[in-house]
Amino acid sequence: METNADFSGGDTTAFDSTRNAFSLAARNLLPEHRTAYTMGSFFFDESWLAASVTPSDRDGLGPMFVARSCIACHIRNGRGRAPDSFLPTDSMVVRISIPGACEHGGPKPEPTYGLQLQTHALPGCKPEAQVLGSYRIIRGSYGDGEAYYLRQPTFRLSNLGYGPFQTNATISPLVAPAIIGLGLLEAVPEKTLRERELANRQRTDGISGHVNMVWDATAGKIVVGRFGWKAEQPSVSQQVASAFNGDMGLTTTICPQENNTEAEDVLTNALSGGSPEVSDEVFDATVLFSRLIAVPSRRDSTNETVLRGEQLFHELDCAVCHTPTMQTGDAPGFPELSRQTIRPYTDLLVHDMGPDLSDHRRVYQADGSEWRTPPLWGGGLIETVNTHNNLLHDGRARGFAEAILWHGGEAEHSKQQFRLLPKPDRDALVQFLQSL
Amino acid sequence: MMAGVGNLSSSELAGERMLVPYTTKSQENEQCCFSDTTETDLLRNELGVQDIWLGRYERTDGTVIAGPGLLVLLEQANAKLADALKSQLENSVDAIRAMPTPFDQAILGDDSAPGRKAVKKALDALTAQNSSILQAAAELHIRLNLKN
Repeated sequence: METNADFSGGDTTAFDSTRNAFSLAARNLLPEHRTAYTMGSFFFDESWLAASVTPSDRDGLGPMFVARSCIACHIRNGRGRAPDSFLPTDSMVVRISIPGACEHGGPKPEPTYGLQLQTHALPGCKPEAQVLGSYRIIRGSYGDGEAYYLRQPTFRLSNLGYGPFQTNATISPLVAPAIIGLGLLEAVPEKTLRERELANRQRTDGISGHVNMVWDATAGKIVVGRFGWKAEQPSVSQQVASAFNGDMGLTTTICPQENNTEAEDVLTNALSGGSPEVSDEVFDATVLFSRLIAVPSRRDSTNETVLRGEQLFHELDCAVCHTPTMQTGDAPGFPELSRQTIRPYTDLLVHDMGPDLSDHRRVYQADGSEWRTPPLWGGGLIETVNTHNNLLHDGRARGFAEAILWHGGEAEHSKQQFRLLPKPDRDALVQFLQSL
Repeated sequence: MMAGVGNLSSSELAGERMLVPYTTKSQENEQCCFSDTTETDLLRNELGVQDIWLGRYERTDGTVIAGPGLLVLLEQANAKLADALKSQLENSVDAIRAMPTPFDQAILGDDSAPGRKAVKKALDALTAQNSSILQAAAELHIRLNLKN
């Protein structure tokens, strides 16, 4: 039996809980969008090549890059994982900046390394760094005495290609998030975010999320941020352009510059893949594809334990920030995404998550300890799709219970209540999250 | 079976193997740009889809293995749709066979070039077929989710 609650992504919802769960087109995809969707899907999966004298649709990679394709990090459109002491980062990025802000209020680039470390480079160029993770195990216990173990990461940079950092630089390791339902989140009216913000302001329990106001390069003004771990991107198109640029060294009409700084003398070694390297046609198709990926349906939503977990999710105030239901407004040109009832479990606001999760790096109005409430839809399928259960921005949490136990700041009270629940209730809450 | 046949027919064959090279006019995006067996692969893909619906398979020595196919099931749910799909599958096979070879040359030129017209005709045949496959899934109470 399915209920309305199963339609996490409204009419886009796909019913598939296999490893393909994040790889499906919106069920209501219009025939006139099928060509662009297919093209976008193709270029999302394809590996980009170094530019050479032979013309190609997909050349221009680098000179420095994190990955050769979108899918390399967003594996099966899903989630990246944390590195360890032996395996360097393979599906995460490491941002870097120095104190202060750039002209539009965003983070200030490290003078040599820019805003993101490039872990690979074309032959003849040096990568910027290699990133490994190591973990300190922290023991804690639930109210009933059962022990738990959290792993606190330290990220170690080695093989710096262009000399030392400025000493006051901070780094922020971020795993690739799943890319389901992005068009729906983009179609949530700004008014809804403002209402959530106002509702937060009126609370007296410390929950005080706010919108992040960020630079929209296309509109040339400051607007509400929605995407990225700090809600630092205003739109799917700017998110995609930034990823092409920052992660693969590909230029687009929106981001026409290569991703190396002037201090890094690398361009002389590399040919360009065109101007821009990603044609507008390919770019637009990739953006359309990114908007119209289906959200998978829930499973077991009427199971008794799941329902008990859902009740606790509300009682513990998890639902204050992980907002279960939202309505989309009108998405011009996208009837598939318009006026949908969606169940993203996010308010798209940034919240203080406490010092233990801080990356000490301010991004517009989001402080180091502030993070955008990540959507929880599809969260129970990450393990099926990506064969790991690494959660939180740097993938430190192994499963939902650990992710909850890392919550601090505005969520400290909810976390403590979870810690003190009897085991069957803790398990029920986790089982509810697994059903999303 | 529906997911397999649906994705092969729609996402793989019509989508990434035909629509993408047709749209980009680019040899590097064709299915088998190195072995130059693209047209054979496309035809074999479609024959495979047809085999699943008809419940038959022709061996290389010409002997035919036959049994109930998905069409038998669909006939019980919607005989008219089953008939339509059967002839759409034949149309697709014919249209793919009619594409000039080699495929990487057939996709070049403007849309009035004979090669592109033939590829477009095959694409249109597959679009009709895929729409019926989605409808067939609904008739059989199967929620078919396709990659694209």
